[in-house]
Order: sequence, then C-alpha cells, then structure tokens
Amino acid sequence: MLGCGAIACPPPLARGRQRSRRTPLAASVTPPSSAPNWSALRAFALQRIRGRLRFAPAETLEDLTQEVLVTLFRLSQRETLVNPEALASTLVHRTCVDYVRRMRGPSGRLDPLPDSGGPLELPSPDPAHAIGVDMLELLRFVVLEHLRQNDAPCHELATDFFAEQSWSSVARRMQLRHNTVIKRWSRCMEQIRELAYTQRGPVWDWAREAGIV
Amino acid sequence: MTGPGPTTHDWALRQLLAYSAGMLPERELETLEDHLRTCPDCRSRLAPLKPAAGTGPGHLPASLIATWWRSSRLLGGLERELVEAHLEWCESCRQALAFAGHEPALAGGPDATVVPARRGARPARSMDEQARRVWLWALGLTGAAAALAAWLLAARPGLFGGGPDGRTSATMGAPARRGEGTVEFELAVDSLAAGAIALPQPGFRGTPARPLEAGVVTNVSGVVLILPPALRPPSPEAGERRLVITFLRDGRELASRSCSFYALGDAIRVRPQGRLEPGDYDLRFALAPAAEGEPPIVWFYRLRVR
Repeated sequence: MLGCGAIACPPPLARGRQRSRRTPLAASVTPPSSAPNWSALRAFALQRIRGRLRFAPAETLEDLTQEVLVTLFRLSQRETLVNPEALASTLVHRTCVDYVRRMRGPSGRLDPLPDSGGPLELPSPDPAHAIGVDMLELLRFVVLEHLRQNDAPCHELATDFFAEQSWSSVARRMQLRHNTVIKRWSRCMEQIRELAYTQRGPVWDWAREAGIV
Repeated sequence: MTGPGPTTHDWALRQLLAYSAGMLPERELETLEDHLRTCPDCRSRLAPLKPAAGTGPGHLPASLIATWWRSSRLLGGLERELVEAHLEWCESCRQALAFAGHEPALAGGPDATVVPARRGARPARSMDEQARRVWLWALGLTGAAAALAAWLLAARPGLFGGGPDGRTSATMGAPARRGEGTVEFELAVDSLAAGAIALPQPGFRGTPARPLEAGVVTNVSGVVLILPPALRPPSPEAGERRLVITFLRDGRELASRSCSFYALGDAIRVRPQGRLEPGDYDLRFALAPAAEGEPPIVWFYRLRVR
C-alpha cells in the first residue's frame, strides 16, 4: 500500500555511503496535501530497478532510484499524482533503458532496446562512460541556460525544439516558415559552437566525443 | 561534416544525436528533417531522446540531482557558472535538490573557491549596488593598469612579445594562481631534445583517465612535446588554418597562443616562468574549420606534472 501520508510513514532510507548527507526525502519541502508516500515509493522503485538491472552495483541502483524519485517529485509539484505506483513503474522502465543507453556511449543512445519488462543487459563497465549523468540532457540544459541569459529569442526556439524534437513542429507553433525557423536557429547555433570551441568541461568533452559539436 | 550520400538512412542515423541536441548545421538540418518525414525507423529512434515527462530541459537533469555530490564537483568553467546561476533563480530545482537531500550548492570542484559571475541571476537591489561597486573598482584598476602598461611599453618595448602570432598569457580575467605564472609556447622546436614526450594520436592516451606523465617541468628546459600526425597539416592549404594552443589547469586558462597550423612544426615546447606546480594540466589544440559552418577541430591532452 503506497497511499499513506508522508508524515505518518517512516522516513525513506538514505543511501549507504551518503547517508549522513541526506535529509529524509521531502522533509524540507512543503508537499501538496495529498503527497505520496515517498518512503514506500522509494522501496517500490528500488525493487523494480533491481529487477531490471540485476547485475548493477548497489550504488547505481540507488542513483537510479533517486533519479526516478526526483522526477516523481517534480511531477507531484505540478499536479496530484493519481496513481503514483503506475507512474513509478513507467519511470523505472524509462530510467533503466536510458541508463543502459548512456552506458553504451554516445552512439548507444540510439540503440533499439527491448520494450518488454524483462531484465536489461548492462554493457561492460567503461570508465569513460561511468559518470551517471545524462549528458545529452545536461548539454541541453547548458545550452538553454546560456541562451536564457544571453539571447531570449534563441532561448524560445531552443525551448520549443527540445520539447518537440522537430523543427517542423516549432515552425507550426510559431506560425513561421520551416526555412525561416531553421535559419534563425542556425544563427543561434553560432554562439553555441563558439562555446564548444572555447570551453572545457564534461559536457563539452562529451559533445566533442560524440561528434555533435 | 559530409552530406547525405546514397545511403541516406545510414547518414541520418549518425546525425540523430546531434539533431536531438540542436547542433546540426543548417544544410544537414534541412536534409535530416526531410528524411524524418518519410522514415518511421529514424522517428522511432529519435523518440526516446525526448526529455521524459517532468524533466524539462530548462531545469537541472534528474540524473544530475540524483548524483549531485559526485557529479556537480566535476562541472567546471561555464557549465558550473550556468548551474550556479540557475540555482539562484530556480525555486523548483532548489526544491528538487532539497527533496533529494542536497544543499542547493555545488560540491567542491575546480572553481569551488572562486565566486563566479552570476550572469542572469534575478535582479536584486543589493546585487546591483555590489555590481556598481565592483565596476568602480574595476574601472579604477583598469585605468591604473593601462597607465602602467603604457609606461612599460614606452620604457621597455621588448617586454611584450605579442607580434603577429598573437601570443597571450590570458587567464580569462582571473588572477593567475600563485606559483603558476605565465607559460610560454615555443613552436617548431627540435623534436630530438632530451626528455621529449611524444604526444599520442588524439583519444588514445593523455586523456583525463590516462594522463601523460610530464615529470617535473621548470623554466630551465620546459617540456618538449612531439606532435602526432593528426597535429601536422596534411596539405599546404590546411597549414594556413589558424590554430589556438591553450594551457589550462582545472578548466582555467593559464596561457594561450594563436598561430598558423604549419607554424607548429614537429614539436613544441611548453616553458613556464618558474616551476609548474605538481598536478594535472590540460593542453588544448583548437584548429579553425576548413569551411565556414563546419565545427572546429579540438584536441585535448591531459599532462600530469610532478
């Protein structure tokens, strides 16, 4: 049963190594009145992830559980979660599949993976891809944040595109010609290429390794 | 980047990641979108690259928040500044961090002790006042520095190497750390010099995971680096392209030099003013693109100094 209130339930388990650094989940924020039981959801997600990634190290399982819970938390801030367990299951699937893709390196992001709920096979560990962060998402974040601070029209274009993943859709929404939108974005991209040319850090390193800048 | 050939689908598959990140040049972008309209396979592979529900790209990725203490310390330079600036104004991300049990501050890293410029942070009166004061100080110091530089230029013109090579000792506006001093690049030096280190082809060694051991590096002999074939111009036309060599530590630029590709020669020497502090340094070679619109080519080497 996952529906009890957060206050009545025991605090969720913190992760082994980082236990002392963590406060109980949702302890320092004001949850909506029908807040999910984070402790139970955490146990639920961890169990599911363990089932999907049977040979993953405990720390990875904890990281992915935390990733699922953070996403659930964000969703719960937007609207009441009617069926948090079902949502957690969906997010577990998505998070595990994304994780396996990330571990395969940049080209692995496009690999087809089985949609079934069976266990996923992890690639052999590669220190170069050991960082647990989704670098594609982080790159998008860096691009958006840079444009937010420096170029509002480009920021609007990027926001739309990253959500839609289609310039045709962006053009339709903005009621502009497809070519016009692409030309505008190409000008925006000059700034980003300049950054990629001059900046150092894991995001840019990843983007260069992936051959996308 | 080459255009699509007869196997458009294969070409399109290779471009999907760059497309998803919004990084494709204009011509490729148009071609790929044309292909996507008619190719369900490419569309289905692109679909998982969409941000998951609740994880809009305008906010810190959930995977970063989940691994905050490990991952945030790896961020450097502009990435770090942008994340910090975002946390200044984004209540939602601060809440998500608090939910995951983290403080809304980046774990120690390359710039942990440096207070970065918080561009784009929410305007606040106290920050405006601080900024004004900083500007006044900066203007005063700049004036004093300009006067000193003018005097030095008149009194000792040889002091500033400069010249057509555009040599700099830039620190990106930040004061160089004590003991690091300026690093000089000497081009086309003798590759048979004692203690010369052969740089491998990019990507093989000299990476952050496998740095090149440079030993002790002092002003006496510096360190001579023999360049791999990838860092030698394949044609006279390529030799005319501009190349920027940059020496960095912890993502911070210590020195850089711009020159023609052919000017590199077989080997270069990196010579510090004093002795380089032990630690890891990055050497970056950035070659201007052959054609407008193409991305520059960048190579990195990690050197470990004792």
